[in-house]
Amino acid sequence: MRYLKIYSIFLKQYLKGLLEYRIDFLIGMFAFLLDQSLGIFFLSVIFQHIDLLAGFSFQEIVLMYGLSQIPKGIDHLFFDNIWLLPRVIRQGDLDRYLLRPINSLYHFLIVRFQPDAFGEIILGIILTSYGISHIPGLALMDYITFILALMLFMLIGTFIFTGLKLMTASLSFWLTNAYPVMQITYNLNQFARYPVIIFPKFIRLLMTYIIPFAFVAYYPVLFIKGEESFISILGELLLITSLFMSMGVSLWNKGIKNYNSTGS
Amino acid sequence: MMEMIKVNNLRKEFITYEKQPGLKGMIKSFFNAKKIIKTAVNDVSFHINEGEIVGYIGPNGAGKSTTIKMLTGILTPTSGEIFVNGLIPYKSRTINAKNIGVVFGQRSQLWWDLPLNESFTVLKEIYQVNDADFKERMDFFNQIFGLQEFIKQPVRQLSLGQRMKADIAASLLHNPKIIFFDEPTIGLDVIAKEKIRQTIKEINKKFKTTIILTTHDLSDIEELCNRIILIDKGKLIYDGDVDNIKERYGSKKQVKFTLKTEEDFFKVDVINEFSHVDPKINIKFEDNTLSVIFNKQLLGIKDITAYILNKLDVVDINIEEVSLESIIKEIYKDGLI
Ligand SMILES: Nc1ncnc2c1ncn2[C@@H]1O[C@H](COP(=O)(O)OP(=O)(O)OP(=O)(O)O)[C@@H](O)[C@H]1O
Ligand SMILES: [Mg+2]
Repeated sequence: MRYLKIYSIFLKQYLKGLLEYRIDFLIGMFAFLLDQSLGIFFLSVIFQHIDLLAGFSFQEIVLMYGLSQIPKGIDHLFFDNIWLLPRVIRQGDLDRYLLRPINSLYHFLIVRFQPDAFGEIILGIILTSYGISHIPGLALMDYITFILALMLFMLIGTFIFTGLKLMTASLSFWLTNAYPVMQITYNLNQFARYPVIIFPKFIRLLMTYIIPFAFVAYYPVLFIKGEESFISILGELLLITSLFMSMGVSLWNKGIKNYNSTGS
Repeated sequence: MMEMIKVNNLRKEFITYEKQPGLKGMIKSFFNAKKIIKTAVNDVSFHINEGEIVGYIGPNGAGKSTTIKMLTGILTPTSGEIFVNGLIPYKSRTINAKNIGVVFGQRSQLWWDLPLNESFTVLKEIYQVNDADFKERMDFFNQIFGLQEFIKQPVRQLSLGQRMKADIAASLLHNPKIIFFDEPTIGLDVIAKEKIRQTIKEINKKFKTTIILTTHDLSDIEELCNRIILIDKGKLIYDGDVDNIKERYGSKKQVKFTLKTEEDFFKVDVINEFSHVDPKINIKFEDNTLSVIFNKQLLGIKDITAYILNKLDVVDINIEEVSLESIIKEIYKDGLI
């Protein structure tokens, strides 16, 4: 309760700031959407020559693209501060999060809110709606169950991003600069937009077992196609995210004990 | 008497790796980095009772901030024991945080982008301060620091002094049992400094708050502390009252003679006259004023004044106790004993 109240004060402040910079915000969002629509445009060009890509129709690929954007956007919106952890540690700025009688990780996460992420979320919703509305032969009830199921997947899937970032960022408690590690592992999410089976075996295994971004969009689309069961995807998502998050949190907690601050 | 802080054989080592210059050095240190162990706090022990105001002083790099960071739980000690109000800070950091207030003069602990009034609202929630107390304390801070002048500004826009006032107010909002002030008066003007000192005294008296203060402004210490702990290169070198250090190491006295004419100065040779009794006797000459600094245990004021008055035309005489500052300076320079 107290935690939510603290968060609401910060949130109110960000939203005020957002109003102040609304022009920059809108331009940024527009640029992002334009950039991404280029990618979609190329996809549509490819699909003028082929009907199916690895067994997926254009609409299904668009759906996958859209689904990959939403958890990424939610993570970006709420947990963007993790990107700054390497610098915060190096500059001794973590001190302030360790001085208050609230959970240090929570405190660290709430001080930043990244409205740029609305671009990803909006794009994700548009593409997902387009993709899902073009699935042939669905009754209204099917739509509703699909949407609810997808929403659940997206929500849980967010923590694949967050957990991965937290794990790699926490390495900064031991390394001078963990930023490259963060970047390399995080950027693998770009593969999540496309069916993993179009990639070489190595990447397929990586995306399914090591850094399982395939669960963000690929498997949910298989579920829509009726090729995977709801329960197995949900189970796997829960397993992965709880593993990633608990590893991230425990690395954070261990790291704090190892934190050296700075001389001034 | 309740012991608020117990520190036993506290030690903190920082491990760094030597970096060699140039590409060759870089490759060399990549494969075979030389470990450098820096002992910032070395076997320090002290106990502090409830209600004490202790000055924790030492030259730059002595280990003051490192000690404070261990007391607040930011840093984990390499070895030794710490108890703050019965808690081990690095183990029970969040519970300990409720009992303490912290100011690092070098770096604000407030939220950079949050307007000051919102920062206080957040602190109110974090420390669960009730409405009545909150109002009363904010009024008090307004009164002493004039916070309302900049309360709507984000912290990053505040001037150094305003920011210090904000940080100090923030550290007091939850009326902590123990306060750690690491250089709380840097950047403050004379009036603000005076107000902060008064506030510290007042709070200490009213709530029996225990206060540890590090500062390079020794007048802070003279005005506030009855006890000082002196450290140098990580080691504790003195722990006791301020008067005692003056007596033990400050046996120096200074007599100032204001002369009628400047040229008179050359008619005396104080050093030659007295150096066989007090080898460290020293003089200064500035704007018609001749100052003689000597050890009062070796030499009497009477002897010096008699000698000078005999030879020179003196308009005024001023006898001063040597300040804590110059005593500390001597200790920093020469070490104890
Ligand atoms: N994070 C760190 N990593 C490596 N060395 C450190 C670190 N923090 C402090 N030191 C070293 O430990 C020693 C003590 O530093 P500390 O900041 O405690 O000094 P201080 O007494 O507060 O000095 P000042 O009066 O300058 O603030 C210094 O030699 C410093 O270089
Ligand atoms: Mg310091």
